[in-house]
Amino acid sequence: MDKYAHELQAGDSYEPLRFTVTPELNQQFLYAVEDFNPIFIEERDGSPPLVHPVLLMHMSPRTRSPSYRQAPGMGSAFASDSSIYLAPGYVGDTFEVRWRIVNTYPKRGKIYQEYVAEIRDSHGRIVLRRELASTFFSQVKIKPAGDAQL
Amino acid sequence: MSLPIDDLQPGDIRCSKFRKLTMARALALSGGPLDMPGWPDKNLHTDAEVARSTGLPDVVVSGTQWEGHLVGLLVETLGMDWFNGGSIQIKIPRSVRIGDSVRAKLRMDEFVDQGDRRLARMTVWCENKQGQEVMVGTAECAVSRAARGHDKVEQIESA
Repeated sequence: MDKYAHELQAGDSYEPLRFTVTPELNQQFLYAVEDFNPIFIEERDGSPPLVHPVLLMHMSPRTRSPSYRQAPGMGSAFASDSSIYLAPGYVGDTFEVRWRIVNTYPKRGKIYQEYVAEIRDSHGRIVLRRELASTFFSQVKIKPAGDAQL
Repeated sequence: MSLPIDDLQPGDIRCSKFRKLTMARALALSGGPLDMPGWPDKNLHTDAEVARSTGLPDVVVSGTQWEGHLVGLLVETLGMDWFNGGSIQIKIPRSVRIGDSVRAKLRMDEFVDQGDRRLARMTVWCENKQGQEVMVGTAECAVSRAARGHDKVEQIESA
């Protein structure tokens, strides 16, 4: 995929990302949010510690995709999200994130992009599904793809 | 072991402690894995120069960071039920800068009977020390009648 992210349209996808959550990575995120709840650190009932939701959230924006390309001088910002946690994720497991763009539109000088992110564990279970809206912004006027006008 | 949700009544408010969003914690969240070559990653959330190149005055803390505070409060309140259908919808009305302190809050709005479970509907938000909302939204979670898990009540206020 050689398009910049803001040029993608509804129906396009970003390339999936696979990542493994080590205890060290999980604990790095626990430090980030000062949340040392034992369920994220200790084994319970023979199961590994849980992956902290903030780590899964962090991996779900489109910017994590290997194919995400942002145009020079452009920034992107989160606007809103709706998330549902469907299964616990466990430390040591490998997860896959997939992204699908569902809508794009210009508003107040920015390009909005709405997309769905799903994270599955190694058993194929969806652990987190997010519907996100993010914006692209720039110091210079953005030329949107297609017929959209800012 | 009971959970905080077992004691909450409609109108009750529960909140986390204030957490300061320092550069060290922003780097931990947004800088990439600590053992990554070239750590930290330079982006809007970790590097002032990159932030300025996009027109921002300075580094802005990733919204994921304090949404993490909010979801942490929900997990602490609801236990494992959160990971089996807990949902949250949020928006960010204003940004947070390095050095700001933020706390997460929830207000129990209502319980809806669902047989052997009850659906907890909540208003959720994060606020800074000036009392300004930096994240607003709602959350829902179906709760088992016999919830189990740890409880760590930071604070319960009567509305």
